[in-house]
Amino acid sequence: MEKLLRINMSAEGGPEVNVIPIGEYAGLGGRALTSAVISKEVPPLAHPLSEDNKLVIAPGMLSGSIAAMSGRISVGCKSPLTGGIKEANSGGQPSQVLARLGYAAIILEGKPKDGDLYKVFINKDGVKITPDNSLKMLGNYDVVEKMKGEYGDKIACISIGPAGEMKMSAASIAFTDMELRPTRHAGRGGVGAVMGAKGVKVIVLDDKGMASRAPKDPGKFKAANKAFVEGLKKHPVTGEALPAYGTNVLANIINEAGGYPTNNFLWGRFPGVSKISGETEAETEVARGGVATHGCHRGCTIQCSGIYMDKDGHYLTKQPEYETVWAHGANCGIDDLDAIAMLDRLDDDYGLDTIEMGATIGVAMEAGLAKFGDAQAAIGLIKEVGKGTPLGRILGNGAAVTGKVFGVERVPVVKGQALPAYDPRSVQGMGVTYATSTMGADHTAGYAVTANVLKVGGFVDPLKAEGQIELSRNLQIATAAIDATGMCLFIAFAVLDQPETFQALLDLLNSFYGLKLTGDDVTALGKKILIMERDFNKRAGFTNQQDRLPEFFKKELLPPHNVVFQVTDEDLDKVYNW
Amino acid sequence: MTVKSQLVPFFFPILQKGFAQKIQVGCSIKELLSDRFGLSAEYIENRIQTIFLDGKPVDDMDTAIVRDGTTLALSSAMPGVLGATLRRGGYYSRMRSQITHVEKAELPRRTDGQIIVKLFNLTIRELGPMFLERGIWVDADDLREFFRNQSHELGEGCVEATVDGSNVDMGKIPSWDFTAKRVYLQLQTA
Repeated sequence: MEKLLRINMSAEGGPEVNVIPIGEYAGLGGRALTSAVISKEVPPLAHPLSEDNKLVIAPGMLSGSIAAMSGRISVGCKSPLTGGIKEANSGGQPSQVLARLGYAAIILEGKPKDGDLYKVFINKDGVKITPDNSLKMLGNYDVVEKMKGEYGDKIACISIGPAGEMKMSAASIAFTDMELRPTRHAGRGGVGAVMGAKGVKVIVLDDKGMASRAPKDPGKFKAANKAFVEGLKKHPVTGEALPAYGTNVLANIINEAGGYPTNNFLWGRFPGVSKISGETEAETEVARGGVATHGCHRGCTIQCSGIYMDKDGHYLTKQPEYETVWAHGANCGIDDLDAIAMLDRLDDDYGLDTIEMGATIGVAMEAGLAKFGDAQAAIGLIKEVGKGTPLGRILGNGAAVTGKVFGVERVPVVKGQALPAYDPRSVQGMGVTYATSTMGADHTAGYAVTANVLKVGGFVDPLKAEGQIELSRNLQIATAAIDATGMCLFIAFAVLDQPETFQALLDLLNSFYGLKLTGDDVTALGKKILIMERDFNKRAGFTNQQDRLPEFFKKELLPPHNVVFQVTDEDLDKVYNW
Repeated sequence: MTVKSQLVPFFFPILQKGFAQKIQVGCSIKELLSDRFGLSAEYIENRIQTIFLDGKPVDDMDTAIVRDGTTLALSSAMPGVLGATLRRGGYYSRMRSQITHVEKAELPRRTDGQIIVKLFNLTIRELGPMFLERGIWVDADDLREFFRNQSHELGEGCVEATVDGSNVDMGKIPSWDFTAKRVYLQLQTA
């Protein structure tokens, strides 16, 4: 991964390919690389859909190696949804394949002067870009099928659906999974709209003839990987709960805690939760001949995904994960797993962020466009988006736009991005992360529960009054660092409880690159990423006024615990004081 | 009911939603789990990582008291930062301090009572069969809906069904008119 692939879509005579050494970005991967490029090269006041914005697609530092769990890929740009910097990441096969082809990143620049839609093919022999207008407005599933027909089934694809072509702010970028289906998405922030603005429909990757990336010290690397995998397998979350039930195992306990947002964040409990929980979902999948334990990319040992079949036993979609089931389920009052799975399938095909779309439909239901609990109406609304009707265009631009158009006061967004599946009034520390993340409301921004191992910024006493601010800060720093490695965030649970597993992660990085990183270095990397992102947002016009939750979280009591968000603005402003 | 063993998981949704147990209340959660439910100390300590008492996360099983009418939810370790936050006595418990269970009232008298138990995550597979075999009280409407939704599977996997001591045709169970508000369900495997 010593080279960058820059594609200038504005060039005279058609797109221009430049393969250049990685240069000043050497040593960076994943989110560290995407945020460094965007922060340095994109004018912060540029329109997100303009030729001045860039789309950076970067595998993690360990992607392409045999390290377990190293298949995450980061997508960076200035976000059309938030107006700030964005890093959205995804699983799937492309991260490993792109890294094996030797690219630290693909950077799409400029904007085509014609109205053509392009496909990009990358293999060991080089890069080929061709216009292919037959792909226009195809769903992701059809695009991938066409690419299979042209290039065979040993490829990996990065594509957008109609939502991306229509430059909707909720548009995602799809990454194919092990079965060559477009089920993994860099969902958040409208990254698909930026790819659409660049005029690129699909990037096809073929790593035939390329070997796995070789570590500097193969012996130590192999030993570290073995210890790392053992640590994941022996931990009850990464070794048992996630493989058995996937992330949606959270539904029941978040509901029990009264923090499961229901009917557009009106209540904290959903009466139909047992019908859509991870436990029920897994039993349903198995009973129908699907799979309840499955990885999203080769080398995944946690296997938190699955394959969801319809009532007749035919493939419908991958296992909808916790955020998706909540967004299209409880948040819209829907307790029908099959309908939720259909919504997930449609989102994947049109290329839409499931969280944003679930939140948007919740807002639309509050506006009276449909009744809470009406699954068929929800499916109908998503189809409007896919067709690009005037209503669909509004919905496809997310919850904030929809709320504004239909005059809804209760719109659950921060920096224009919809809140994920935890009510911040119930778990207030999560609210701090939602409010202050550089990305807009984002549950993964403070996900890597490694802070007590890293002791980022000194050991925090979680029982102190200011503990929530410090915990959120430390979680955000640790998460930014893990996002740079290309490691799945779910490794964090094993790292949290098992210091030897955290050491194994460090050993993987050190033996691969010939480094001597310590926990402090990882902390420094996380801080560096956040500083870059925060600086970009500041130059884009963000102030501390954007680091706030919507007013209704401070005013409306959330049943059943009847609490409001109590963290003060003054405390929120302390998160980035380090 | 007597069912084939592979049918047992079909009953798990009932265990998530909650079932009643008639027990002596006025004891700590730890006592309930060990003395009343007969769980081993190792299982309680290592496996039951997340506990809710009336919807509030519990940090100390020795001081949290089970009262008549209490709802008790049990889960193994949960993923995500929220999973870590809700974990019993976890490092991140401060992040949910506003909803944490705090034992304020005086210790109640030990007396016969009834509680609702919910099982989540791996505890369903690990404890569910035991509770089903011992017997659970289930809301009659919930049970009727469950039987209706699972009628095909029950038809194939149920060996024998008895209502109030009389054998009944399994095909009639989904539309059975349970007269009581709660039904005592006991499951045996063939």
